[in-house]
Amino acid sequence: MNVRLAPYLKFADGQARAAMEFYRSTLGGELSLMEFRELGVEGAAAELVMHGKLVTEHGLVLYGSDAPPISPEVRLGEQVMVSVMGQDSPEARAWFGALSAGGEVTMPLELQPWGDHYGEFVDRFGVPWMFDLGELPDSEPSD
Amino acid sequence: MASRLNPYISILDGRAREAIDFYHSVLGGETLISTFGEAGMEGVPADQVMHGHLETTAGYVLMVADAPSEMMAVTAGDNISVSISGDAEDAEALRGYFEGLSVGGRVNEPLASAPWGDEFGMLTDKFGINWMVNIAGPES
Repeated sequence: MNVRLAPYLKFADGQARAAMEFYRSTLGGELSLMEFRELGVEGAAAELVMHGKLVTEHGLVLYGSDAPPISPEVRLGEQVMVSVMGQDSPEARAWFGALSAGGEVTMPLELQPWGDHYGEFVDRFGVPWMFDLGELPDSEPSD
Repeated sequence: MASRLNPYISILDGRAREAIDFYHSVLGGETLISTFGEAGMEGVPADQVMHGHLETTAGYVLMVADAPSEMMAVTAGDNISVSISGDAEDAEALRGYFEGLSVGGRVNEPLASAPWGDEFGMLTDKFGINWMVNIAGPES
């Protein structure tokens, strides 16, 4: 099956373009943006992002869009977070630093009892992230 | 550098195990659960899920855990949804996911033809998690 599961971020106040470009500047890769004008929306709302897709240099996928003009409210929460897990490396630590800049680090990236470096932050756009850097989680999970 | 990026879901009211079983029943695959008790953590319910890992039949990864109130305060929002997308050839499976995930929850936008040429729908599941399903049109 060629099916993909990924976080989809929703932004208030027309922040999607700035946010997705910020993620690209940090994580690298290719960003594609579709605007609401492509659905025939006119006026200021035409420039809002209807669908954005970032495929990073390492093949990670993150989607994001502006809240649709007909229901512009966004409720910030952290029940769903964006999780980045992987091998510890200077590059991954740089992601943590760059993505959290201008946001709030709620848990510094530090060595944890389970042997990985773990940390959390809410970025400048209100998106909650968690990083766990060590070895990859068990790639062959079992019941 | 090997790394992965995926949604991490905190389940309220100590229902993470129930949620993992539910997602597993819909999406298939294998689950791996570790509890706070196994990790030797005190002051939180020992049988609650510290980390749950679901690798589905289609090969993608979803992580789910409890959020004990003794440890953290979690706010439900709608700024992050879980997106599942695929090609027309997987339409049957994707429609099944949409239907299965919406049981006991709420369909916010039924799975139907979208202006961008795909089939698209949105739902909030019974644990308050928002999902989107997009099935690419045959020509794309």
